[in-house]
Amino acid sequence: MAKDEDAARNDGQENLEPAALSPSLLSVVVRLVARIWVTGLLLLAAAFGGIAVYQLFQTRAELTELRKAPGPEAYAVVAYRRELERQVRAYEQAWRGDAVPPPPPRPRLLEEIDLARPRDPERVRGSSELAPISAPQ
Amino acid sequence: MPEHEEHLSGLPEVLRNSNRPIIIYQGAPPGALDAPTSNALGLISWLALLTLCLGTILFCVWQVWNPGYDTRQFSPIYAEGRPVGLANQIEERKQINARGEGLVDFLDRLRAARYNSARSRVTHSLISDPDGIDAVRAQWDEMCGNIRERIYDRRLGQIDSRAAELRRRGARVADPAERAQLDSDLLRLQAQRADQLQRRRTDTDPALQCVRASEAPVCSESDANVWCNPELNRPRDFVDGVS
Repeated sequence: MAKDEDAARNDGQENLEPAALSPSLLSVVVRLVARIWVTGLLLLAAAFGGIAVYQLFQTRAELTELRKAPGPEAYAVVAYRRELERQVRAYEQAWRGDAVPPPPPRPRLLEEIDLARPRDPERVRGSSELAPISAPQ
Repeated sequence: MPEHEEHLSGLPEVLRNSNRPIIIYQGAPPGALDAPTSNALGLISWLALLTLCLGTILFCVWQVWNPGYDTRQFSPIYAEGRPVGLANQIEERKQINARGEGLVDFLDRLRAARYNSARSRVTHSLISDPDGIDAVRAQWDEMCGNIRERIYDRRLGQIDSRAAELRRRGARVADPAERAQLDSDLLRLQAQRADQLQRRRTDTDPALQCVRASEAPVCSESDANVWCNPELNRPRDFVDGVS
């Protein structure tokens, strides 16, 4: 019985070994190509990943650099102009209150500019024509 | 022996009837799965690395190029709100910097020109361009005047409609006492109308007096509006210039 078992094992190994020891040329080539392809894919992905991370940090650095100027005071004046424009659009169409809207407060830098600006005749005439805004009708 | 027969019952007939020994492994013979396991682990490792690289690429691209807007955030350039992507934030910041460039110098030149009584006209594009602050202020003042007119028109319209209703009722009423009451109400409405017209002419209603945009109060130190103290609202947007 033991002899039979040993013989069966030997038969199994004899059947397996030739296939394992002599791979065909095609399978070797296919394996090689697959390994090169996967390795190349990984290397490419790693390279593009590195480039992407580099670009991300470059972009962040550029934004940080841009944020050094012009400073909060000038930024506030630009934002004031935007807010004024937004209110003109919003209130013209949708003001439902029973009182007129108050204008947005002026940034300090703009107030200094307003004070320092010359009151040229054209501007004064223009303002006197408008003032008061709610002139008698 | 019956137990042995029971174990063999699931096997094919050819195997059961053969005299050769039947060896049933649990899994695989020792060492037989080493190569496949190694290959599978290798493949999983490659795939994990590839996924990591692709995820990194996608994350970086999203951070830079995401075109979405955060509508809760005020943007001085984009009407839709502050952009989320870094590329759009850079574009926004470039435009802000271009518009606000030289404002402090402009103030200095204004003071110098005033001090020297210079005749040369000192201007800045953000202030005096056709779409500058002066022009937008004029639009705001005009808008305020239009709103004022609409409010007065609405008030007068309400008085007129009530008066018309009283007149219709008066035409149907036969009772002298009730008619006298309606006439009294009508007179009161006419007085209200005259009062509104007077207020409109003399601009004496405090709630309907427009304040010029150029004469608005100045921002306080603690005002958290982004156009007053942007560094309070968005402190990370202003880095220290000294590196």
